Amino acid sequence: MIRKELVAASAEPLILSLLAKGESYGYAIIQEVKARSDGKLQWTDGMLYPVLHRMEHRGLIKSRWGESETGRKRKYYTLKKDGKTAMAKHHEQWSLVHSVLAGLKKEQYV
Amino acid sequence: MFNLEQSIADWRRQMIAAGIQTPVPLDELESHLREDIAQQMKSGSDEQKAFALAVAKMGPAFTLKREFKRAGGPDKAQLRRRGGFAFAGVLGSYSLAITWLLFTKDVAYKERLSGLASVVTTLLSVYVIWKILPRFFPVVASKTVRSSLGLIGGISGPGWLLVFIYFILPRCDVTLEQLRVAIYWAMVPVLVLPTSSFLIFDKSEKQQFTTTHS
Repeated sequence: MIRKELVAASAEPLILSLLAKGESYGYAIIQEVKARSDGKLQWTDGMLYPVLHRMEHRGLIKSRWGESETGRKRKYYTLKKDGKTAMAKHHEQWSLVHSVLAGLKKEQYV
Repeated sequence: MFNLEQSIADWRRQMIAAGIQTPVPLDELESHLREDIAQQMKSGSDEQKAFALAVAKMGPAFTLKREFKRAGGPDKAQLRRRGGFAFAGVLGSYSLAITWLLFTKDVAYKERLSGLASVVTTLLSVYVIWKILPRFFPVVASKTVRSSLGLIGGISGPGWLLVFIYFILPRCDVTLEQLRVAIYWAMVPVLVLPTSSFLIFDKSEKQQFTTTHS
C-alpha cells in the first residue's frame, strides 16, 4: 500500500489527468485510480469530495448535476482551462521527481 | 429487518449532526454511497453488508467535515485573481467616467486633450507595470519588508493625493477647467504607486510560496 502522504499529494494531478480524458464523477474517478494502480492507490471515498470541491473553488474544474444511466442523481466534473495549465505543471514536476529518482536508482546498480 | 432507505436516511441525519452541509455536499456524498451500494450488490453482496461497507469507505463524518471546511474558502491564487478583476473594474470605470465627463461637459479643446492624455497615461502605466515591469522587480525575502511594502502600497496613493491637495494645488493659479484636468493628472500616481508596490509585494509572496512548496 502507498503511504498516505503520497496518496494525498498525488490526488490533484491524478484527478486533473483523469478529467483531461473527459467528464467524470467521484465514484468513477475512485474506481479508475484503483484499477490503474492495481488497488495499491486507494483513497478513502469521502476524502475525494473535499479535494474536488477545493479544485472547483480554485477554478481548475467545474461541475454540473446530471443523471446516471439508471436515473440516479450524479455530479459530473469537467476540466477547465486553468486545470489544464495546472495539470501541465504537475506533469512537469512529477516527471522531474521521477527522472531524479530513476537516475539515482540507476547509479546504485552501476 | 434491514431497510436500506431508512439506513441511508439515518446516515444523512448523522452527517448533518456532524455539520456536513445539505444539499451541498451531502447530496453528492449520498449519490456516491448509493452508487457504491449498487455496485457491491451487483457483485453479489447483500444490501446490509453493502451499506455497512459503503459507509465505512466513506469515512467518519467529523473527518469529512474538517476536510470540507478546509476546501470551503477561496485560496490565495483565487483571491489574487479576484483582486485583479476588481482593480481592473475600478480602473475601467474610472477611465470611462473621466472620458464621459470630458465629452459631455463644456470643456475647452486643450483641456479635453490633456484630460484624455491623463487617462491614456494611467492605463498605459498600469499596463506596463502589471505586464512588463514585474520581471525586473526585486524579490523581497524579509516578511517585515514585504508587509511594509504592502502598507506603503496602501497609503502611497491617498498620501500623494493629500500632498497634491494641501501643498501643490494652493500654490497653483488655475481656472476651474484646468483644476479639473490637474486632478485627473494627479490621479495617475494614485493608481500607479499602489499598483507598483502591490506587484513587488505579490511577486515576493509568490516566490516565497514556490520556495516553500517546491
